[in-house]
Amino acid sequence: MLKKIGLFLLCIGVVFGAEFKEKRYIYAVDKTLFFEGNITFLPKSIHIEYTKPKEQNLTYSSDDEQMQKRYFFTLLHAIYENNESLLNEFFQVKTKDDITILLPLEKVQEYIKKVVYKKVGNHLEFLKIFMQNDDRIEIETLQ
Amino acid sequence: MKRYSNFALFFILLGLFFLFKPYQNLSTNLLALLPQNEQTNMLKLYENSPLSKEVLVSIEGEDLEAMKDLEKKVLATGVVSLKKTPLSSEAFFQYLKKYRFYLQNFNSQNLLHVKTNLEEKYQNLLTNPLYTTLDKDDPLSLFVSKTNPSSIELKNGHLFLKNYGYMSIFSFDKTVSFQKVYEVFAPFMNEKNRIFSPAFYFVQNAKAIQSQVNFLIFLAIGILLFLYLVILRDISLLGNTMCTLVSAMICASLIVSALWDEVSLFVFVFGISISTVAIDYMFHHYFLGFYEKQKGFNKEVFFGFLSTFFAFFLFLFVDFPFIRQLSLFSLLSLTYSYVIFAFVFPKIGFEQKRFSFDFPQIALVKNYKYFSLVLLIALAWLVGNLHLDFNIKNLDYHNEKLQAEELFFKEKLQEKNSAPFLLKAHSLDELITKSKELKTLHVTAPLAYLLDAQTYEKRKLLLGSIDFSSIREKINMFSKEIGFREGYFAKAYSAKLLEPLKPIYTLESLQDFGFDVFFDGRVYYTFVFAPKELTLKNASKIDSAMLFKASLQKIDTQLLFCGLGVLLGILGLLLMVAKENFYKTFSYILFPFVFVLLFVHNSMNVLQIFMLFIIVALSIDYGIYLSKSSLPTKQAILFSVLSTFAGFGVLVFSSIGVLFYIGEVATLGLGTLVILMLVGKNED
Repeated sequence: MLKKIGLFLLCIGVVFGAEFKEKRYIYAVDKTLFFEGNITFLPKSIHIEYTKPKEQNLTYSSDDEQMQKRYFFTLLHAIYENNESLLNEFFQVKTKDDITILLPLEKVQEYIKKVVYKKVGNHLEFLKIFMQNDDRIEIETLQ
Repeated sequence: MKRYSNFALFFILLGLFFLFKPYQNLSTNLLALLPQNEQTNMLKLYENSPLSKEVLVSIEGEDLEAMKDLEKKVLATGVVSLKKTPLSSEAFFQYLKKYRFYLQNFNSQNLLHVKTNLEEKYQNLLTNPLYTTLDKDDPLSLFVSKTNPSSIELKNGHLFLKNYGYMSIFSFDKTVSFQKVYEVFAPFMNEKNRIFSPAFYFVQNAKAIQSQVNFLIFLAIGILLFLYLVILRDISLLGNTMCTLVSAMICASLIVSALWDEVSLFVFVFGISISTVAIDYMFHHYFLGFYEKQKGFNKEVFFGFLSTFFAFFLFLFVDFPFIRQLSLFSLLSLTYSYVIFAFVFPKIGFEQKRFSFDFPQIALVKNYKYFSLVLLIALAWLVGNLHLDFNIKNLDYHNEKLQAEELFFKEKLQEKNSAPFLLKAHSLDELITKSKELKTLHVTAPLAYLLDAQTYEKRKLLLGSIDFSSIREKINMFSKEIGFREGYFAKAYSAKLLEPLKPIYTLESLQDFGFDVFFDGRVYYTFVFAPKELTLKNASKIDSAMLFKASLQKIDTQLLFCGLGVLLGILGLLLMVAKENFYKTFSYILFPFVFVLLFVHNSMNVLQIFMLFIIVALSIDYGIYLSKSSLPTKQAILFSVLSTFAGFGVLVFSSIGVLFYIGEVATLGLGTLVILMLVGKNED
């Protein structure tokens, strides 16, 4: 019985997905890119299905060979799961109303200037990542 | 007054014992057993290094919260601290950044197609949904990170044991007791957490041994009380004998600790055990009526004592601290006991208890001449096939639970078949160069990831031969054409990264990087890990068992000569004392020797050898006494055998290897002596 409940909960987790829009400003080329798609959070990975500008799939996981992908997974997953201890490991966390500002500590400072996001309940309304190289990533979820 | 002279001596010695505190010189360190040389110094360095003062902890799965919670609780005790590793060191991270053009692989091929290279990067930025950043310092990706396969990685900013779970490495200072460290981690030892430290062996094993020893002490005391109070019914004899033996041990420990600054605990333990052999001097005098009437001097006991004294005296000349210390301890202790039993006890006077029981006689061995000849042939064959096991670790209590934890980490860290090797050099730079050389032999050498002067100069020459200013110009020109922001790569291949100052290392800076490096005032050391069977030219393997064996092998000629000397001396003494009963006496020495060797399946460890020496020492005494066979002599031997069994034989009931081995040989040896008394003919 417990196994069945477990499987059911797992299925809910697997099918959970959110539509999102992403605006990405690349300073090096002074251009803004737009993406759209679905994001699904799984226990050990994040699956992203891009629908625009073209259909492409991307998976982030904690075991990824690429360090950059691994860092993104950690950040997104920690925000999604409200994992405060993990966020505190890398950032100074400031929350006012539903908006949280993450100011990076030590090594993370090398890459990220700051992160701002708004979460209402369990719903992530937006997420903005300001990079040290002046790139900006803004993600907005639609449901 | 004479009645209490023995106790008076005991109290004087006890006073001296507390005044000079010989136990302060005691060392539990295995190294105190070995001659001091370069190899033992290396082992000492290893034992004092942070590497052997670590506690490894891992929790299965990705429960960072649980690991953080454990860390918080453990660190709050103040007994341990988190160990700095290169993975977690901020200083090492900055070093890697500064010398990245010198530490990473150089890919000169990318210099050939500057424009294409930049175009690909531009396209990737605009089309790849995976966000990537451009390396402004190295836009052509000329420098590529070396892959360092490691079992430990960083996950969520924390150490992570590959394919298992989060991991923490704690370290503790050498002034902190192992017991204290164990107590900190004991509450966390459960099925969920994997926890290991070499220090835990000392704590857990000592605890296990202690609980068994307590039981065995009760058993031994029970047998001794039965002997003295039920059979002999003489509490004064018991008090005086115990008092003499303890005084002898105190006397020996006072002198030995005055001569050596560091005395191994094993010397005291073994020395005290050998001291109890003296009890047979007492029984022989007692049963032959020397304490009841003034009978003068007992020659047999004197020769028995003289043979043992002579053996230990010869071994004093062996150049091996453990053997020398043990021989002197035994020699002093036996001499003290002999003097008291032979000269003071008759003055005190003890009434002899008479027994009506006759010693049964089967007389299966009728001709001692042929019997000793058969024994001699058997002995030659057994010694020829004997394998001596000097691996001290085999004597250890088999702590299966902790061994499983050790194996778990060794397997996960891929160290199962590797051993630590000590690498030394006269400078830190040389230490790094040697580490780099070893890395080419697939040896895990952490310092190999650093830059030595030689590699620095070589790379500097290479980079100096390339015209980076014109490459930078090309990059700026092409990047503008392709569509990059103007001047975005203006600082590419800067002098800061192309020509950093030659790195200067200090012991502190390397330790701050998280590397295990030491300095003994003369030489710098670090550890590398290589397959156990490998022999490295520049590094010495750290193996305590091997060191003991190697140290013994260095003195094998001395041991051989001493052994031969002892043998000839004893044979001469037997010829002189036993005369017509020579073969009978000789049989008493050979029989237990052969029987024990036969039983141990041709393999003997250090403890079994040690115990065999005690049995031989006893059998020489018994052999000499039995040269004049009489019922009181046999009774004296029987009581002596029972007393020795109470001391050593009971250890056969122990499940701990170190104790069982002693008990096994003692029981076998003593048993065979009694058997020979039963089956041997009275006269030769």
